[in-house]
Amino acid sequence: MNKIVAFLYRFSGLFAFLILEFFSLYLYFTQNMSQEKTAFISSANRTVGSIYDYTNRWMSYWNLSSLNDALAKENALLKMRLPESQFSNLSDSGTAFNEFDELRYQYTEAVVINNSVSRNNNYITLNRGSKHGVKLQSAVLNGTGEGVVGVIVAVSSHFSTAMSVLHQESRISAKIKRNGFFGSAVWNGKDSRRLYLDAIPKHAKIMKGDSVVTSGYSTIFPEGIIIGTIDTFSNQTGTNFYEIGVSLSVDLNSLQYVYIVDDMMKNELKQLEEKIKK
Amino acid sequence: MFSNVYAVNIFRFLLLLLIQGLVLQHIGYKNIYVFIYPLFLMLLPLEIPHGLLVFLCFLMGISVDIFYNGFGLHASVMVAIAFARPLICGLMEPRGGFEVGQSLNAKSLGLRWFMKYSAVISLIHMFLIILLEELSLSWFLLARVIIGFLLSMLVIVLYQFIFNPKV
Repeated sequence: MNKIVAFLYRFSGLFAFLILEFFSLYLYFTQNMSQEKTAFISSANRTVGSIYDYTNRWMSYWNLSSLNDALAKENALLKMRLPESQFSNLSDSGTAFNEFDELRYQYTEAVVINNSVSRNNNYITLNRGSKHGVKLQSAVLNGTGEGVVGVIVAVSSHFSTAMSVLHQESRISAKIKRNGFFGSAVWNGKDSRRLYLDAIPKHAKIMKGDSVVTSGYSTIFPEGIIIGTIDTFSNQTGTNFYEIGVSLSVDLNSLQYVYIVDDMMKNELKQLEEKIKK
Repeated sequence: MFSNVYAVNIFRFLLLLLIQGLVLQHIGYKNIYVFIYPLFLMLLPLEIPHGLLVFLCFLMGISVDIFYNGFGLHASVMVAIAFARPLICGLMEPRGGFEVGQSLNAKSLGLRWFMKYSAVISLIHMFLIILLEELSLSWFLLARVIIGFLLSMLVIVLYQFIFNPKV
């Protein structure tokens, strides 16, 4: 018995080598044979997978900015394919998305390189200009594409400046999403988180929390972009309109990525409306 | 003392595995690999039973395989080299012979000896890995082996300098 133990001990290296070498070569040359094995011995392995997941959370910071650029670009492409961005050439506009649709809204992603919220009239500078196809009177939406930010008022070859909604001349054609009453959203120059919605007649039924969206009546903003929610309203005597306070859905203090949205049928629409006025 | 040897080697196992799996895995360019984990094999104590040596190296190899999706590639190479390590150590025995309980690192045996020792193991390791992967010989394979070997030596020596500062 002792001899056998001694023998085994003496040649333990050889035995271990033969068994393990055969085993690992077998694994190597028969890989992809069974799914259970693949799951255990690859990085899909739970332990290693979670280590990767964990480290990725840290490592991803290295390329976060380029990833963001790519995602923003992709989003811009996707948004152009939404039915809202298309102009339906069918009289029955209920059938969204077909070969009769034409692209109406052109999205360009941009990074905010300068921003202010505390002045009387605020502007935002973006890193996209005429070289990238930015045009005057384009809408600026926030990074998620829902939430108005401003309107492009100046374009250079590489940069553009937008008049923020926090500008006393800014007037955004808006409507109450629930019942469709429309007016315009303006800023009073004080609170950077609130706008005022005027021209809503008193017979309209409104309540706190109603969302206010763009009406699409102007040629700047696409229809249905969220502006904010009603947080106060008062019934003043001597006027036919409510005074409505809207809390902005976008925090303009922490704006990083935006979309510039160009209505490509703007000129056509304007010319048409001009004709009637004459 | 004895438990210290265990602790050190377990710690080194984990550290090398994480360096290999989380850092060096992303450093290689195209088909060039950088391997630091054979250092685990190199630094295991001289008196370790042969069977245990082979088994521990198998564990290391299979762990790296899990990170690399290697399916036994690294394990088989590690097992082969672990089996051959007593032979390599015998061939590279310094003139006066190894002392009892001597560590096989640069601090105890000198940087020159350690460079030679790690170069032999690292080169064999790199060659076997790439050979097993391609299953054919070519000049391109040789270039991969040599570039990968040089980069690996760099990190291995660097590791020695970091953990045994008085080399």
